[in-house]
Amino acid sequence: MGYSVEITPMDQEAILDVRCITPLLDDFVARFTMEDSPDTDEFFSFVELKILRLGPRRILIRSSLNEEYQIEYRAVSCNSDPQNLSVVNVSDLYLGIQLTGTDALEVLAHAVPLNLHEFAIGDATSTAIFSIAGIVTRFDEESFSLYIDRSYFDYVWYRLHICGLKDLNDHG
Amino acid sequence: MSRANSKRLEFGGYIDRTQSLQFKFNGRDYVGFQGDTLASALMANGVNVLSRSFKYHRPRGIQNRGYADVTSLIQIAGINESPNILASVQPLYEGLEASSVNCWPSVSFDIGSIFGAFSPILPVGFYYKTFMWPNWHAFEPLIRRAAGFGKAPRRAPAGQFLSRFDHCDILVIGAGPAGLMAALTAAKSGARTMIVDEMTQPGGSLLYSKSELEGRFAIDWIARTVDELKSMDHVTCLWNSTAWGYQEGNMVCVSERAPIPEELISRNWKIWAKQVILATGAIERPIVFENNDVPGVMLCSAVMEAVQTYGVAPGTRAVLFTNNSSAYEILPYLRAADIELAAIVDTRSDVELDTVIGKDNSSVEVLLGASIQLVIRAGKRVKGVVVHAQDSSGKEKKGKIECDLVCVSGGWNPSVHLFSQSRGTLLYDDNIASFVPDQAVQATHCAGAITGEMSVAGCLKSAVNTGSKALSRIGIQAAPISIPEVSNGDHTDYQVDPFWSSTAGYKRVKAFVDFAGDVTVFDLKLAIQEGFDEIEHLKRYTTTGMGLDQGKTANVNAIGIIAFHLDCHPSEVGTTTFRPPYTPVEFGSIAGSQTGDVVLPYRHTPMTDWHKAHGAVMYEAGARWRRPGYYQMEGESMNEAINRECYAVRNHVGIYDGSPLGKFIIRGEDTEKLLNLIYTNSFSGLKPGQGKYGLMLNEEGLVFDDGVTFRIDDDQYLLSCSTGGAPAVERKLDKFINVECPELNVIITPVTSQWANATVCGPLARQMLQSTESDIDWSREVLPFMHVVEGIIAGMPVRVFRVSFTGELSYEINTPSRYGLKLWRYLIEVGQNWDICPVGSEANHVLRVEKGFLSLAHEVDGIVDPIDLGHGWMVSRNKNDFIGKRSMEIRRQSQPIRQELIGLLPKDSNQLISEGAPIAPEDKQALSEGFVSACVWSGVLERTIALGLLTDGRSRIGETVLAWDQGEPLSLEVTRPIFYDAEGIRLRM
Repeated sequence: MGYSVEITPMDQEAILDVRCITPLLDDFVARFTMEDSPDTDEFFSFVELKILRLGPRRILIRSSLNEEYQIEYRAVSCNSDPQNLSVVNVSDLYLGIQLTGTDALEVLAHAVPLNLHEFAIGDATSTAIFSIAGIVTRFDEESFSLYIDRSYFDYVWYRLHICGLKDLNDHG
Repeated sequence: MSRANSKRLEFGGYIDRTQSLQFKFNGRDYVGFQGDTLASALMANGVNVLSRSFKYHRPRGIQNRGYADVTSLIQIAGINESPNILASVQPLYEGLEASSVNCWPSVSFDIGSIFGAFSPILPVGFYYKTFMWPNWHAFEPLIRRAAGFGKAPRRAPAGQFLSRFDHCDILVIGAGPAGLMAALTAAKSGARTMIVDEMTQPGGSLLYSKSELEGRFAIDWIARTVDELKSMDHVTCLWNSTAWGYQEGNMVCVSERAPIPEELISRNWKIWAKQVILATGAIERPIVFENNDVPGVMLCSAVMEAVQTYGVAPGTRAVLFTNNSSAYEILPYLRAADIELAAIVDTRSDVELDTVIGKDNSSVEVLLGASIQLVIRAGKRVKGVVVHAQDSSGKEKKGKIECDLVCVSGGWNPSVHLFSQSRGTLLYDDNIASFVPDQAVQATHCAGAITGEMSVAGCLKSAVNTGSKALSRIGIQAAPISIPEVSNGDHTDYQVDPFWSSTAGYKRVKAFVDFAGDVTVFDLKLAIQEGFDEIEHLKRYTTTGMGLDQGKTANVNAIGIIAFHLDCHPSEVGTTTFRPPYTPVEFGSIAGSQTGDVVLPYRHTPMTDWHKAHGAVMYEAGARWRRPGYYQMEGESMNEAINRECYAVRNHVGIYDGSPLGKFIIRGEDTEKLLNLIYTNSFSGLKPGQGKYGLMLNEEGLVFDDGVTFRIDDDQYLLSCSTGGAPAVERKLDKFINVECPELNVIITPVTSQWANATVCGPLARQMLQSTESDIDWSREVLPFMHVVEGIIAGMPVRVFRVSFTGELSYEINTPSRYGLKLWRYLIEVGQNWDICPVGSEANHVLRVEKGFLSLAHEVDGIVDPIDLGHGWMVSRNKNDFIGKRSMEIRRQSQPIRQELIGLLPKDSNQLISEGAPIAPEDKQALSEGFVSACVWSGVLERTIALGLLTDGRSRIGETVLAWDQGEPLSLEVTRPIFYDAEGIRLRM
């Protein structure tokens, strides 16, 4: 019996890699997500904005590719200490793959050594995906997204599909 | 029932007699049933001999059960051919084809059995002391061919191997009574539980036990418990899955096999468990006596399983030989299978016969204080045994008993392999005459027979207690659980006499201690006589416990025999450390799906498909990248293609895909400080828009990588490095700023794949780019060499760097990867007017050799410093420090004369020399003075040219040296390492 999972490529997104030396991230995120822009009267209305916390000193800001320049501009404007906090547009560095279905966790377990049972909805982490550095997030109970270096996309895509092949035994 | 199933009982067994399965063994057709193993089906069909032994090619049949039955090795044929499978664990399926191993021409008539006749010259360690003349290698091929097991498949299997990860709170290994009970305790308490068992059916020894639990057959309790476990979402049951390795971090490797290997063969699990419960049970051990390997000699548990689980009678007249009380459980099984019990031979003298054999067997001859000395065989099967006993006066007497089945039980060895692998220590327990787990090192617990507890009731109780303890370690309160009451024949009073062998170990006596490696008592005795008295040495010298079964049955007997010969207690002998794998695991299972095209990860640029569509021959380019080596046009040879590409770059315009070059954005107030530390030259005062070439050294002061760094704006630098060196550079930078100099305020973001790179190079490159739709001023004045500018080309954002690896006017145009292919196509289209030519890495190599530019893995091979490479000018005299400075200076003081980069011109201008060819004088060929690092045909110079490293090379310009190419001396003239545009006018145009 095959695994019940749908493996689909994601549309390219706008992604900013925000890293800092000292723990400035909370302050930055607060400024970035304020409804009113800190430096202008512009109303902050990015529809698909998501912030992935990858650690105390690193977040990824994701949004629709259409909003790439707006969020980059805003991130740079919100950066009160550019010597200590770096914002780099990495929209072209990553490509996303989504796994959806009742067996999404089972298939993903072939790729990442994470404890997916304790990986809560909304969690994000950088990890090894088939031994390649990447980022995993959980959308909901049956849905995960992988962000991988675009140069490895074909490789990861191929291997994920092999893992989705078949279950061996009834595992209970 | 077919006549072929002549040994099959009319009733009984857990096989499905309505589903018959056809299979082939050694080319003959047989029929078995659903639920059979290959071994049970062959036994039912009267097949006695399954394989030949490793060394002496003795016929071997089924002796044991499960993975301890090393004598049932077979080879599975078909599209997923696999050697060294144990017939005792191979589920039978329709169409299965198998054959015997280690025999020729057949298992019945094996030429290799002649080795038995030569056994006196093949004792333990014979390869250290015989076959020495003329030398060992003259005999080695023959001996290697004669020894061994199955044949490695010639084809890759058609099916897939997979690997995966998992995590759980409690991992229970073994699904016998203790394992099932422990898993139930954990699962009912809400812990995420995994339970693993190597057999297709869980239950362990309960499967063939006549014990009743809660007043019902054991099999019913197993079924109910398994159903209950499977009904819980937080429980994973893995049957037909062997836990074969217990690693650090409480990580256990489990190989899950497909019952029928088709599309998927196996899946290797790496399971991290917060707590591991080992309920791996115990393995019955044999007793050592002469000819104890003859088919028909079986362990009691194997006979009981054959009768109860598979409905097979393995003989008609049996002798029971034991040293312990558990063996007597076999009596009702023999009765049920209508096997006549000819005699009971017990090494113990104080057995209460009424208690152990009951009234029904009162007519059976019972010989106490006796032992079997020898098995008599007829053909390849047991015909009888010779027993030594004492009469009532204590006088020794010898007797012969006819039988076709010898049921042996030498006691039980707790299956401590995984516990030992986890680095837990073992303790010899006199009560069971075997080793049990002592101190755990990881979060490991043991339950059931592994602890030496041999009763079912005791195992169940131990499992609940152990489960509760493991749960409490992770903060989970164990839910109340009732322990089933055990009745009918539970073995509550296990007693064993530590009797290992009934033979003293004479030279020609074949009394096997280790069936996997054909190690006899004589071998152990001889090794001890030769001075090997440490168990680790004995193991390696005799190979005891090193065979496929990892000493499951052999080790304790071997330790007992060694202790006897060393006149000490077995605990003083100790044990060796068990190592993974617990059972043989296929290489495929470890490799997983990483085979064929994906044996290594690979990386593509956005332009890869374009390259392939235009004739590119793809090369490995380092760091897993694949990029064009050259573009081959129809009817063109590789060299013609390379020459064409070089010509284009030197005469009009070439374009290459430079996307794989490593790229890092560096920010922070200490960026300049960092660059000055990691590069040998100074990066102080670099202005926005400017760039610099730099050499990076390692801590030993040797060149590690090279690259260019540009200051993009006030706050941001872009460091670029070699393609192959990028991962190492990233690790080095990461370690440097996080470990060695954490005080540096620097943030590094790797961005290699963010940018696609199309590099336009050649004397007409500027003209061509000036014709693009762009806001960039391409002039030398605005965009000079080693500068960067941002702009737009045909609506695409770009960053253009004036850097050159070809020695020509060159523009490295970077664009976000999503535009990479579009930009590439646009430039190719615009470039048509200038005869633009896509260029691969081979042409790049030629062009850089003409210029004497460095290349990683050619000139920069980990043993040279900047001065060796003629780049002393790049070592700053003004900087206080940089990585490798001190090491380089110290080495240069002690080693002033070193190999230096030079150019080489072959005297024969058409001669190509292999890269790596050593340079040495004719009279001292062994004294290499250097080597040829690269040699190419230069179209622009119309001759071959080379680079190399030569001792004191720069002072030897003009000399003639010899390079030895596969033994042939070739004359070369030493020159400066630059052959084209020495002043660098073309690249600064």
